[in-house]
Formats: sequence, structure tokens, C-alpha cells
Amino acid sequence: MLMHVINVGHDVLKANDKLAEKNKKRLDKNNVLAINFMGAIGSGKTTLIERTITELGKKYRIAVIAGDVIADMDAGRIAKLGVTTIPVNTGRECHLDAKLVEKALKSIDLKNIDILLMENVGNLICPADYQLGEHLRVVVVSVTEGDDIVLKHPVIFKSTDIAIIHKKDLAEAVFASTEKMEGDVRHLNPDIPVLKTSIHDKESMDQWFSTISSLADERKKE
Amino acid sequence: MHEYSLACEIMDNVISISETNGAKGVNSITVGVGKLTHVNPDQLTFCLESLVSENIARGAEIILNEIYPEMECQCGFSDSGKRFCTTDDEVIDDIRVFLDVPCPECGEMMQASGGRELIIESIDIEQ
Ligand SMILES: [Zn+2]
Repeated sequence: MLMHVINVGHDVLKANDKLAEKNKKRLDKNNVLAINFMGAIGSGKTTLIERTITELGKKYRIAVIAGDVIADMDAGRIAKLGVTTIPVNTGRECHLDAKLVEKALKSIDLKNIDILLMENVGNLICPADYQLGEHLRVVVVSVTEGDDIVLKHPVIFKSTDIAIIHKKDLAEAVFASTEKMEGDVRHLNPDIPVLKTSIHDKESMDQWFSTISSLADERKKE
Repeated sequence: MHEYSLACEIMDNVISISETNGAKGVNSITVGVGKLTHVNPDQLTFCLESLVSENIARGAEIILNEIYPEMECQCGFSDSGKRFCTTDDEVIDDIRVFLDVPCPECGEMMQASGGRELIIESIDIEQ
């Protein structure tokens, strides 16, 4: 018998990132702004996506990829708003990956879409390792998760483009300091926008909507 | 966690590379795991071991190497991340130790580069 060592050097996480680049090229070709929403279950991610669709849907054509571990519950909620919604059942997986998104993109008429919202699976750990082809990574945390939530999940905050500290109106009730949370994000990632939002505070929601619409306008179709 | 699906992907690659190279068996599989991924090395090893039972890689030894990020500072200082998660004889196994490290030279916050790999480094086959 001959023994033989084969040097492989194949990186399976980089393989995902390469596929993500391919997805991004496809989105770019169609001038679609793609946003990856990451956040724990109960962070208010789905509600935030719903509000975003209701508000920005007046001006933009929106489609949604909704990742869910078991059921397509969230997808059902979003589909009620009348936008194209592709439920992605991730099975036992704890995150969306580029391959799942590549497949979902086939069911979306990208030529007639301006914004693609991707709702990742509800946790702050696994999605951090995976690029999907998005232009914008958004992490949503709510004050109800405790104000040490940011420091507990540093990797995802290092790799995000926008941080949303959500349900800010409840901060006092749960003894959370939004200042501490914002400070923690800035410590990890000094250059990103940190938005403090609540669906009961119109001004804060408008700030979020205008952040997204100005980005979408940059790639608006001729 | 996603160790199981990553292990499956690694194994698919190992099998196809082994077959391409006309392997009769696989002695060992060496995998590098970056310290900045959320991959738990013990869980990954467990998943890989459970996957090498019914294929060409039956009985293969799983060797896991941890890959440390390189810590770099604007002032020009750099060193392996390994230095910053060892105090005397204690090893701190927490992803956070690479994300919040002041530079020993100038005190500024350092950046971690690398450490995000999950790489099939080599396969030792019998031909
Ligand atoms: Zn320095």
C-alpha cells in the first residue's frame, strides 16, 4: 500500500463567501439592494421588516426571503403584506447561507424588484459566519434581551453595517441602558450607524426608513 | 450550531478528492479551524468521526488544528492571537479575547486578521 498526503487547502466557509459574491453580482446586475436582517427570536426583527415593507412599499418594489428553522410562520406574516415572499426552510440549520439564498433568488423576479429583505434565522451567533450576497448587514437587538447582549455577541457586531437597538421604549421597564448598548456597539465597531428605535416612536422609525431609502435610491433603476 | 452541516460538506469534499486520487482508504483528515469562527472544534470532531464510518474514509483519524488570527495594530505592532489568550498557564477560550485587545505597544485597539477559516488542510490516503 502506498501512503500519500494530499494537500487540499479547501476552505468550506470561504466557499460560502465565494457563492455569496456570485449572488451579489446577480443582485447588482438588477440594481437590487439586498439587506440581511440578523437578530434573536423576540428581537422584533419580523415586526421591523413588516413596518419597513408597509412604509417603503409605497415607493419601492420589495421582495422578502424569510429564513426559518422549522415552520414558515414569519413568511406567512410577511406574505400578508402582499410582497413576494420566499420562505426558506433551513431545516436543522441555524442560519441562512449563500446556497439557500442562491436557490431562493431563482424564484424572485429580480428585474422588477428594488429591495430584497432577507430575514435570517433567529440567533446572534451562527449567521455571523455566513455572507449571503447582501449589501447591508443589519443586526437588530432589543433592550429586552438585556443591555449586555452586545458584548455577549461581539463577532456579529464587528461584521455588521448597521446596528438597531430596538424596543427602546421598554428600556426603563427592563432596567436596560440604551446608552450602554450603543457604547458597546461603538466600542466594537466605531464607524457604523447605531439607530435606537421603537415602533411607537415615529421619528426613530422614519430615521430607519430614510437610511434604507437613500441607499435604495443610489441603485434605483433607470 | 452548524457543525454537522459543515462536517458533511468537509466529508463530501474528502470523499470526492480521495476517489479522484484513486484512494483505497483514508488514514487521516486534517482540518484547520479558525478561532474567530463559531465552529466548536470538539463538536466538529465528533460530527466528522460519526461521518467516517460508512464510506471510503472509514476509520480515518480526524486531526484538528486551531488557527489563530494575527493581531495587528496601526502602529505597526503585530503578533499571533495566541499570545493574547494565554495568561501564565491559563488559556482563555473565548472569541472575545481577539476582538477587544489593546496594543501592548501603544494601547490602541488592535484588529484581528484571519482566523475565519474552516479549511481541509490535507488528507492522508492509501493508494
Ligand atoms: Zn499599537
